[in-house]
Amino acid sequence: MRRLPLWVSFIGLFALALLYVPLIGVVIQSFNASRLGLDWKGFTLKWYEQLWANEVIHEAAWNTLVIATVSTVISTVLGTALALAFSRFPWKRRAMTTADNVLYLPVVTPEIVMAAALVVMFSLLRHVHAMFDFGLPAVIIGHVTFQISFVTLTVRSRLSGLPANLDEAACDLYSGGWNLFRRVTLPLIMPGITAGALLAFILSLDDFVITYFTAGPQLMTLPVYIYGSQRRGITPEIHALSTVMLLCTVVLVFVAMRFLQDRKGKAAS
Amino acid sequence: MPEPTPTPLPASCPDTPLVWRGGLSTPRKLRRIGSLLGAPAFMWLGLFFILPGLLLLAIAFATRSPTGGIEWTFTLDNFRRLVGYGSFGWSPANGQIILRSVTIAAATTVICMILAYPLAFFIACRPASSRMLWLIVLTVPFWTNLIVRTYAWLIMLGPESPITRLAAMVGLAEPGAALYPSTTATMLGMITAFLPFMVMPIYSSVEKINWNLLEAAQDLYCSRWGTFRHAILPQTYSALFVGVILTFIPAMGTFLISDILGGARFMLIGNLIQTQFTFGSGNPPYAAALAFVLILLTLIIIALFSRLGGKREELV
Amino acid sequence: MSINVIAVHKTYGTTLALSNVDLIVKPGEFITLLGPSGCGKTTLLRIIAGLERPDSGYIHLDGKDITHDKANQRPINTVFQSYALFPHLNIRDNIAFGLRSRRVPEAEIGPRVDQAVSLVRLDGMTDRRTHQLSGGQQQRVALARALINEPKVLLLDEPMSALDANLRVALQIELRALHRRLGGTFILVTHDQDEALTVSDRVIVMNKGRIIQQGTPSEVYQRPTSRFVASFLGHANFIDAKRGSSGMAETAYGPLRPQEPLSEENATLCIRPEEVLYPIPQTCTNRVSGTVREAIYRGDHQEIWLDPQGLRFTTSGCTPLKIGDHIEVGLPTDNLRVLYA
Repeated sequence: MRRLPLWVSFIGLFALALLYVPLIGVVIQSFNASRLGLDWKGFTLKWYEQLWANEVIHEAAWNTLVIATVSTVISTVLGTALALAFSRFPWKRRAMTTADNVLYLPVVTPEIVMAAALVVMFSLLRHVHAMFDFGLPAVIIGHVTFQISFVTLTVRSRLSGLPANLDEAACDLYSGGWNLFRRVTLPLIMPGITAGALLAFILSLDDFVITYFTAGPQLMTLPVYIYGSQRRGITPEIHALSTVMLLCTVVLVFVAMRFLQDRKGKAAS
Repeated sequence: MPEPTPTPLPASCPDTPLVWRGGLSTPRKLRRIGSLLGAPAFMWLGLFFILPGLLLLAIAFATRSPTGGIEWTFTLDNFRRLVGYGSFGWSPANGQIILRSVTIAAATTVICMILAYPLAFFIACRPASSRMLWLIVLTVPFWTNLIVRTYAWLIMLGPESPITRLAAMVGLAEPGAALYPSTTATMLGMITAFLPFMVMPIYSSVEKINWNLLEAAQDLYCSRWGTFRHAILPQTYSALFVGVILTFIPAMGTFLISDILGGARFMLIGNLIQTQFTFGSGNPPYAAALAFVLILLTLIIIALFSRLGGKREELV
Repeated sequence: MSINVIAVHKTYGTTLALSNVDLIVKPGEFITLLGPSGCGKTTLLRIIAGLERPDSGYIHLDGKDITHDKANQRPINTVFQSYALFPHLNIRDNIAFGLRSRRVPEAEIGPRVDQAVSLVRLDGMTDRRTHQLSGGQQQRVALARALINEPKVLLLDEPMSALDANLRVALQIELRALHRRLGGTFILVTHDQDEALTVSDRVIVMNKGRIIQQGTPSEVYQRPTSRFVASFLGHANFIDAKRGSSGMAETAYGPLRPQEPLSEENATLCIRPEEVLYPIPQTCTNRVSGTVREAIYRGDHQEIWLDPQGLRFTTSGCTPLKIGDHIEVGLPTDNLRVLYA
């Protein structure tokens, strides 16, 4: 066990406190009977009941989930195929570098720029087909666009960690082509694919900027709802909603960590 | 011994059969399959990322139509306006916004760095049994929706919160008033928003630190600070750089945090782009020019990153 | 089940890996490709397995040309250097992999796996994951996974290199017994001369993409035809020599009588440390004297380095020598070989 100077631990804990104090504040407030202000007026579940009864929130939650799920499925398929294309075929170095640059660009581009670019594109494409009009499909397209790179990079790092002689061993044992992919490659990169999909899912749930720009006036998601409500004035209902979202995150983190630990166990081989 | 797999390609003859990962094929055939696999994703990125980006670039040189749309007349006005020459002569407002964005982003990055280092070491030095729990503790805010986290500060800095009361007591704020909108509130929001992006890469490099170097340094009579500077810090440089990129770039482009916590007068590039990008009342070509500046700044940082030997793989 | 390698040539870019190699492997033979790293032995093995294509040349299996067959069409199986076990499958599924690829009915796979498992003595471990096994056990899984397919030729790519010394020897003997029992054609690649001498019927010594010498282990060890082979297999003393009169060779030790008269002006005499005679018998004519520079205790014998020429030899079962002792040793004519390369 390495000992740290006390002040290092202190700053570290302070940083954690900075992250948690507001969140804990929200959780406490969500149970506060006081409608306005922070003074404790007793424990209540009223706000959760209101939340549960709120049709708009139902719709927003449903939209958020639909967007996250659909975009994750699309980006995982596209991203995994791209990762395979990257690491399993004999590309020339120049072509590789160019493709690599394209792949990293969405990762480092500020969200607002990507959102602006998408708005421009959709305002042109909406004349081509109604699907590209601002709304659910547009938001999904936007999400997939930033998810692809993350999925590809995650799967690719898993692929590059695999020894090439597993493929050779499979060939030596009379396998090949699709059979080999199904029996060796796919099971081996599955942890990478799941990790990539998880990352994509969280990124989508988390996203506000791109959704906000491409959703149009009709579509409501949870982040957009919260953003709008703080303009309309904060209500305890939002505290309750935030608490629920926080809880979902905690569950998601636990699931992910559990999963990552399993992966580490397997990687030990 | 010659590298067993995969075989380097004979560049001259693209159709010589070769053994590729155990299977027999030709480079041409392999590249065709590879292209087929990669094409959908690249087409998607091309249509919804590269093309829109180029379009945005083109719009930056176009004119605002009277209705707030885009008129395709070439002009450099947007860029001129950027440095302050508007229709009413020179004003420092726009330049101030850009400068403010860069300053705020830089300040956020530096403070995050100061907080992230101790936090990363703190977690890395937990016993292995509880480290997983600490990591979860760190990941939860990381994965919590940004808007929830920003919104949470509204409560914490609201008129009746303990923090506000404390601030009023020591005379930092007027009693009964909220601490937002203000620069401090924005900074707080930004620091907490981007801190995890800084901690994560640093933590994973601290976890891999070769502690033998530390012992070697101590063995060679290094002071505590000397030990840190020579034995620890160099091992985390590249992670630190990754952290800086992951913090600075989004901090520069942020609009949500400054919008909620900074108020209407506290404009950053992101807010400016957002307000100008509304068709009708705004000025999309000007917003495009602003976005262009943001991209340029991003690319400069990334170029600097690779020039200094950073590995892009660490960015994800 | 015979393998014919005919004029196989292979380059990687500008690096020559194999230079027109010819090799005939008889049915049921256990041969070893021995050489330092980079000598092309692994490349040759991979070409036979179909994991690499020769630039030119042919591979014949039982007289049939298989040069252009894919790896998964060849009735040849490989034990890979790092075993290449599938980490996502348990032992049973690893071993059954080849049979499943060839769509052998499941009913038949079960008994055959059991048979293969008991052949390599891994009974009761079939449900384990590969990372739960020791190196030696992993090696046996790799062996079973290859043997279950009843390959016409079994290729082994440095299968022991990852194991510790004791285990290696045990497995070498086991491998030999296995070969005797199954009677197939085995080709083993190694850089370990002990391993080559222990397991194989025939040793093929390779260097720089060529076959330098081949023969039974004792032939290659006893009658090396080049300095390279003599030094690669075991230790050897080399003495530069010039042709002298009446079958003698002029050397730095004075005139010595080698095995045979020198046919060229310059040659190298070669004698192994254990062949140097000490104490020296009366009959020995090649006498060399010197001072003990270094005396190393080796348990059952002593290793001596003799000044001034650095002659190395081993003594056993006599009074230990000390540094500085002045002694005389004999280089028996029968063991003093003449090398020209």
